[in-house]
Amino acid sequence: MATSLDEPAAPARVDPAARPRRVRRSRAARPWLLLAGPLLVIAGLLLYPIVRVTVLSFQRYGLKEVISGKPEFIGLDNYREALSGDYLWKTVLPNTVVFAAVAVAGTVVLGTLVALLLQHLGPRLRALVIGSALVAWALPAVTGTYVWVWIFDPDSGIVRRTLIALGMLDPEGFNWFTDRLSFYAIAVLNVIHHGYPFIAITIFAGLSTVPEELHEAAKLDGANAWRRFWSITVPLMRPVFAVVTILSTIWDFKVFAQIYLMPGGDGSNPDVFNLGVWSYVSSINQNKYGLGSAIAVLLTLVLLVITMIYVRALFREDELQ
Amino acid sequence: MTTTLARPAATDLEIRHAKQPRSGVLLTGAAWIIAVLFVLPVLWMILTSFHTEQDAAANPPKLAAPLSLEGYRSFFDSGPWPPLANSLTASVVSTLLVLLLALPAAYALSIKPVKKWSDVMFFFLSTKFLPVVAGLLPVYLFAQKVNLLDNIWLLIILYTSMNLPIAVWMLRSFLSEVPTEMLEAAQVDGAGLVRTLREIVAPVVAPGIAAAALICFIFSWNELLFARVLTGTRAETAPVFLTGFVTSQGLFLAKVCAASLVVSLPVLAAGFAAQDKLVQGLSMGAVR
Repeated sequence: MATSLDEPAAPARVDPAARPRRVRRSRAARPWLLLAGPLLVIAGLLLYPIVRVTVLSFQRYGLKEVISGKPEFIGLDNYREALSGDYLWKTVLPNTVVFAAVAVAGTVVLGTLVALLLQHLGPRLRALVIGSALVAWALPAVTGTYVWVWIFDPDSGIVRRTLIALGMLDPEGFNWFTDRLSFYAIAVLNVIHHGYPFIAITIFAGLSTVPEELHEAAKLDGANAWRRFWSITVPLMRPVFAVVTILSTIWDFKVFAQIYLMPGGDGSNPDVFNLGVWSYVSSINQNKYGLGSAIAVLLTLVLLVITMIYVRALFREDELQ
Repeated sequence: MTTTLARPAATDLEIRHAKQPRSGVLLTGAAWIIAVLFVLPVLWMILTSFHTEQDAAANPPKLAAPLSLEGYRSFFDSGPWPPLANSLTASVVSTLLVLLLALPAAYALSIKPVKKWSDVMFFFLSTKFLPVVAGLLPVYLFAQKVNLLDNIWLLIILYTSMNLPIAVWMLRSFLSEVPTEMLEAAQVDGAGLVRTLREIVAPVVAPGIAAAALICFIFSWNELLFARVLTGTRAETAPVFLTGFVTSQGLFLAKVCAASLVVSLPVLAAGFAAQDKLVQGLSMGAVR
């Protein structure tokens, strides 16, 4: 790597044409050498699983096949099993899609509001809010989820006790975790709480690129804050909002720990599975590795399609500029 | 920001600053509420973890109950050190490996970019679509075959590859901030690669390296899915240990809160202590 060190330091200007061709060619190849490590690691460790999981999804692969090592090719049977019947369409897919839509919207809206607030704060308060945001972001999903579960615990959680004390809930109480809607309401709270600090910080960083003069000019023209937000901030920040939305969408579709660690999410209540948890439970709990793989492939495809749509929208924007 | 052009704006700005003390009360209030909402789960955990089990389960909650280390004592008696050490090993080693691989790559993508650098960036980014659940089985079956199950090195390799794309992406943003004129000037002066890197590139990129390292550390420390399926008793990490502890001790809130807090402490401390770097790194990684 230190080849240029051997070069004499004397000549102030070197005529590029005077360099031998051999050096030039090795110059062109050198960046690829630097890239080789990561490209190989990622190709090996991320592309291999994609291929393998796709192959698995076309096989009957259970405990017997793990031991014998001779899986049977069964074509689309796993996909047929996953796609047929009501379970995917009425339970798992709505759980995944509606949850993600609500969580992404909540995360981005709250994140934007906090970012706008951050803009108006002095340095000390700003440090306080950003520091707290980073604590919320760094908190492991495992711990965060447990806290929400304890808060909503059907026997002794704070929420139940408070509601009973206020007379808003019967003393028999209500198990929020068995009902699909309230289960996901709690999951949404958890995921938004975990996700919007990061979004707020990102949008706040983006806001500093919007020229102050534009806002001041619009203010002189009598535009109120609402108007200015929609006609100045949003158009200029569109790429930032796009990235933030893509990232949140990917995360919220892939959400696993936050569902799996809630009561019933570990396999005992199929009503609350999303695609990720269903895939995990099918393969790890029930040893139907083929079916689990087919579900995982479906989840990947859904993610791919969504991201393609986003990226298309984003990059058309960039080319216009 | 030319002064002549922006004169009315400047005066307006001054007015706004002058007004700040009055509307400041509202803003300060909002800021405190948001900040407390962010850290509420952590505050609640801290409070509960220092109570006795009876006080933790009290109805209504006793905020001013006497402090107790009971929860921490019984958590540390349950043998959390090997998992904590495993988590530390996996996070630190994988972070170092990520930096070792990502820095040269980011250099090749920014300062002297290869021709198809945007394609390469896209390839890196595209790996984020793959849900961990989809990689789980292939990795499990592979590890079983080559006898790497319950081995911390398997997690190290996985975390390295998981964090590599985001680290490359982030470091590239920082490296592209290095002024090219200075690089050219250094070349003209005959400074070698090592000297150029040390004297021009390093100062600009150092915060980026710190940010990337922190983010990789936090992601590796918090990872649950791979660790849960691929480790047993030997290579168990802290989050896996925590889930086991909570399953067996779920009724004892003080104990499980103490456990959760201890497991989260390294990343919480990292997040709070290095907030400037994290903010810069997070926004660089995502925005550009």
